[in-house]
Amino acid sequence: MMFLQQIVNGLIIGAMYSVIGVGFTLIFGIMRILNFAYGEFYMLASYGAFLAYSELHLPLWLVLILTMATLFGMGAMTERTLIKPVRERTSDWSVPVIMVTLGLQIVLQNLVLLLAGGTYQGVSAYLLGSLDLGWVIVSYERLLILGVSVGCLVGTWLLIQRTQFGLAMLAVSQNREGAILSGINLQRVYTLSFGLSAALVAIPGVMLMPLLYVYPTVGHVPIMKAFAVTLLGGMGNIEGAILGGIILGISETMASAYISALMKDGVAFAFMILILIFYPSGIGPYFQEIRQKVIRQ
Amino acid sequence: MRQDIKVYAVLLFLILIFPFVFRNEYFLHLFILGALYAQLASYWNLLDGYLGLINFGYAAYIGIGAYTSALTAIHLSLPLPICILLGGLLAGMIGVLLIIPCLRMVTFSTAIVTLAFGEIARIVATSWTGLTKGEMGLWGIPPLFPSQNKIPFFYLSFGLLLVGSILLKRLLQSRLGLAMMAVREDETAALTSGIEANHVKLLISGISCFVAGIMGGFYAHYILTITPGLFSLGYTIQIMAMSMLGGKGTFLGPILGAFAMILLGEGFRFVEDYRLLIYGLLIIGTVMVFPTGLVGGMARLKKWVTLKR
Amino acid sequence: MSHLLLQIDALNAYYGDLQVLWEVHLEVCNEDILAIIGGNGAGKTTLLRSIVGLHRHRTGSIRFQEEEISHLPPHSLIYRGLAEVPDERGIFPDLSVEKNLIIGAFPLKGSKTKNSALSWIYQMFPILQERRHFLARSLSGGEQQMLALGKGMITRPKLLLLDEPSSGLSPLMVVRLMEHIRRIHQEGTTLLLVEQNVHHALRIARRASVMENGRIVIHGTSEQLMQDDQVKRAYLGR
Repeated sequence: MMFLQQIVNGLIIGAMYSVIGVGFTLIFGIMRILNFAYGEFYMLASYGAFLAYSELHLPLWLVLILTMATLFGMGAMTERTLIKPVRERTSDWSVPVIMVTLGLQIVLQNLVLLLAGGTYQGVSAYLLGSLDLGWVIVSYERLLILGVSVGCLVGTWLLIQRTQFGLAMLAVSQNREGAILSGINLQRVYTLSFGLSAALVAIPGVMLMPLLYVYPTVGHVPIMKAFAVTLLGGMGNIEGAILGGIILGISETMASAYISALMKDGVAFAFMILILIFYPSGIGPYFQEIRQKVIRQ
Repeated sequence: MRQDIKVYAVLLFLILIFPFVFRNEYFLHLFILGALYAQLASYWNLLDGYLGLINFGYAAYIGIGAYTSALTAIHLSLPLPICILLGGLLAGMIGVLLIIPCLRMVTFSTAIVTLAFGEIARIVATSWTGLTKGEMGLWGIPPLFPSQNKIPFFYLSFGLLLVGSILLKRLLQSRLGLAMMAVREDETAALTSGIEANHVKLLISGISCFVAGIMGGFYAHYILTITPGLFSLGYTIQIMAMSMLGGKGTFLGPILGAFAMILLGEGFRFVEDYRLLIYGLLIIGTVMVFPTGLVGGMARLKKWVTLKR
Repeated sequence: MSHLLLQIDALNAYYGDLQVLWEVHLEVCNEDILAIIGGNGAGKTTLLRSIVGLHRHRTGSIRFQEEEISHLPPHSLIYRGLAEVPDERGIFPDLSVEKNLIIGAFPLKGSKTKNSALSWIYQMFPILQERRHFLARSLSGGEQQMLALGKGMITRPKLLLLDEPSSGLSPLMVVRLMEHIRRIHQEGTTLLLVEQNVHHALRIARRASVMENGRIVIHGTSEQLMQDDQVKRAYLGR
């Protein structure tokens, strides 16, 4: 039964990893950059959530909405003020923009360190108690996390598949010129999707606060997960990221339980590399192929 | 050509007399680090700027070289040059092996996989306390030169930089160098011209990681205490930043970038608390003004100035 | 001659320090088909990219429907009725045929308008309807070209620029392609066709210009060009 328990736990944290991965892979697909400041957006969301929840005693749902909105604004503003000038100065802008995000990462991390100090802050779980299903026990906190993750992923999927903007994002990620010629405003897509990416990572920033705590360098954790999930799912592949997050979550939990809690990150990474040896482009494209074969029948 | 030789002679002379003009230990230390990073940035650039292969786990090879050299020196008491060489060889071999799964991947995928390797290496180094003493750090490393004096280290680091740069230049001008750039531009075209792209990638990875290992060994026997922090992504990013700021894909760029960043970073030590913050702002500012790096930016500036006449 | 739909004056284009288009002067009349022919590297693709603004390092005047468009952002042109099918086709490989067309209909407002536009394209290209759930990259070369045309046409642009639509197609497919192009023209769209396949281009177009080394060297009606000795020797192999 321990085994099933671990699977469930892994699934739940994995769903959150999926959210982290989706935000990161989304920006890679659309702008072909690795956003090194992504972890710092998480960190800022955590600090914001800590202030709103612990100090101002706002209800959790409000904290979530406010944090997402704030981070959306920050993301959009970052794109317009820092990234746009670099994009317009050189035609091969992927690498310089990555450098800008690197600089931003250093700036944000040290700014917060200076202003807030390096102490670890935290809250105890948002919900107490647990659900006993006989075979497994799931804490209400974990159920909440799962619920928010799933809601977020469904919402993102709907946004991409069913709205004009989502379609525009897909178009830009697959053929920039084709998108321009269809009347899509690239600048607007870049700015809004960067904001969306930040808003997405704000969600784990709020929900995982009791688990990971709040301190200036906490961004190191989500960015590593983002890298792993993005690679596992296929660079730029949203569905792959969703699957990848769950796989990462489960493998990590298993590694922690059966091998070593200290080395769980290492084992998870190693497992990811193993999968990549068989699927060098990630698992996302592989599933896309399968789905295509089914459609053709 | 004669112009170049004059410039090199002057530089060589300056390097030779430097320690006697600036006797300050701290200054010497800065420049030793500068030369160290310059070499690392140059050879990172070999992989990224000239071949097009991004290695985000580069720091791990420095760490492998450092620990291998330190441990063989401590436990096997071999002569130090041999230890450092072993460090380099191990780093080079692992570098080659780890690139094999990446051969079928796209650039950014390789970047993340190498990053993962780096992280795994760091975690192993931290956890295998029996061998590496983990977070506590490995100390008692035998120094390269017996006295406390930094001057011999200064000459050695610049000597290594000089030799490394000459070999690098030779490599870039050789057939392998040409093959490398062909693969970077268009791998399929290179393949059809008879270039074994995979062999090129493996070889260059090996060379680049070997040098990282050597420099790691040098560092271990200079600083005399090393920690697993040496494997972190932060150092790789610093090296990458130096290479990019100086000018990706140019010869002098990474060297310039390395010295610029070291000196600038230290230049702000008087505002210690704000140092890293200013550092980050500088990176953003520099990229926004010179997106292609300092070397490219300087060339454009020169053109702009001469056109104005 | 009815009114001028597209007027290009003194267009010069550059790649860095290298000049690739020299004082290009061009006019496309309403309801016309103008063909631009020339060998590889003559600058034909650069010309089209300069017109739609994808290539911005250029000087000169580009007027569409009497309005100067050279300073406008490229994505705004389709709202004014100017569309292009680029030489790489401009389709989205990992999206279905239907999604591709729906994106092509991005400028249209309202789902009713989009749906009727979609039906219109399916009527013109029944194969696309058959394959509507297939991913664009799994289509054959000829089908992809049809998708590209459908995507370019779906907003019923006043002027459609076509960049080497026959490239990569078998001779049979090229004939079919030309029929589609004729049909598009009948539906009321003016065409500017860049082509390497001179034979077909001259047969379908009313007027044509020849480009060489970034300049327009010959200009006239297709009949005139088909009789012209220079053209015959250089491009028609006679």
